[in-house]
Amino acid sequence: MIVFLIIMAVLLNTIIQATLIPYIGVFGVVPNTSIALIVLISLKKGRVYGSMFGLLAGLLQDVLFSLTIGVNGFILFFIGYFTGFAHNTFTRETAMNPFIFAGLGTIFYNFMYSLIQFFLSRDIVFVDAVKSIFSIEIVYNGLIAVVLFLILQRIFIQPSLRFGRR
Amino acid sequence: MYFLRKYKERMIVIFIAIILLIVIGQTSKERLSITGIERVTGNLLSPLTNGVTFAREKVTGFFSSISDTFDAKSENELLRDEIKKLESENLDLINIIGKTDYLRNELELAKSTEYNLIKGQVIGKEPGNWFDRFVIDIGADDGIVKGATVVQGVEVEQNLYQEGIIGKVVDVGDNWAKVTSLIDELSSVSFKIIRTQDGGVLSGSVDSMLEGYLFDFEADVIVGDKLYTSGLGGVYKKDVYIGEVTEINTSQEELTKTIVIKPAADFKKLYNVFVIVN
Repeated sequence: MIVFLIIMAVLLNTIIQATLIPYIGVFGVVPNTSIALIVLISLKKGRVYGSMFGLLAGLLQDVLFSLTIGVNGFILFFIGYFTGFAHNTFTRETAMNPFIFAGLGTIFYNFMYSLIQFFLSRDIVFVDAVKSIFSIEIVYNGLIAVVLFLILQRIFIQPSLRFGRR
Repeated sequence: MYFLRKYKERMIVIFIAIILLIVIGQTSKERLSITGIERVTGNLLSPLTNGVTFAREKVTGFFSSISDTFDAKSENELLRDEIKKLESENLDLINIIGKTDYLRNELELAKSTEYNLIKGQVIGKEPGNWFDRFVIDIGADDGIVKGATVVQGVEVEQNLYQEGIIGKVVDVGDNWAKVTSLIDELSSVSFKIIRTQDGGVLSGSVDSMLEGYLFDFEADVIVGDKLYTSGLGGVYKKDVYIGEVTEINTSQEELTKTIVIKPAADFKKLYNVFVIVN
């Protein structure tokens, strides 16, 4: 059931991101909801789920929009995988965790993206690359992760230990 | 065997990473056509994105109509004054309003064009801030081919409507096509200045500006010069309007003359575009 819900979330995310999100950019910066979603899945379900859904969402995005297949898949796969190491390490789940990890994920995403583009011999100026890596997108994605966290709390219901009848 | 079991997870991760890197390497080159998987996924999701785009337009329309109601009272008084003014200069004003309208551009283009144009709607934009690409709702079924030039109707001078360049088709599915816009970092276009026939190359940049340089350092160029595509290289159709020169920078040391161009089309507001087919 949870796998089905996550797949639906990934599909929905891709479609919404392609159609609605480009119109709500602030200062010309568009948030990347995929990063926020992958970070949340990873924190909640561990690195196996996180990496697999990162791969799925990334490849879907690549096939639909870019010419080079695999760039987003590669980066989101590793965002999911690395974030997954933080699974079950926090004693309390606060909204601060997804905020921080989504921010770090965004830095990683933009850094890897510029690196891959550089090795694919695209003309990327160093200053522009640094500007893109440390842009307002970090805060933006973090905030979206917090909002999604509050929504997803309803999907991932933690089983609690109970004795006797409810 | 122990080694395999101990590092099983890491090996899977590295395996996936290597496969992805190979795919990136393979697909980053110029490809003749898209793969079957891409075609199927695109065909399936294109109607979905189309539907959401339709819904978005409805929702934005709904909200703007609500805010219109609130503004109605003050607007009413303004409009009354406006009507008085309009009545006196009725014909002239309607003429001017009509000219600036986008639809008018489209209509005039359809009248005056010498190309075979197919109209398409923008149904999705690429997520992320690195590139400027979008997807349109027409594809191979409508006769679109890879490499076709994408244009929009623009007013070049008073009463002169022409095609303004938007970009080119880079991938085609059955009912969708990916378009790379001119302000994308990766697209370069060869241009000529219509006044002096000097040539050069311009390309987009990360900050969505068009910048270019001239082949000839001594070339005569002034602010306001109009640029057209030269057709060199065969990437874009020849003689399509690009935009106007807004800035000229001469660097004595590097012996280059660079220019900044204001494109004729508004890339922030792309809803309908035309594709040139043969």
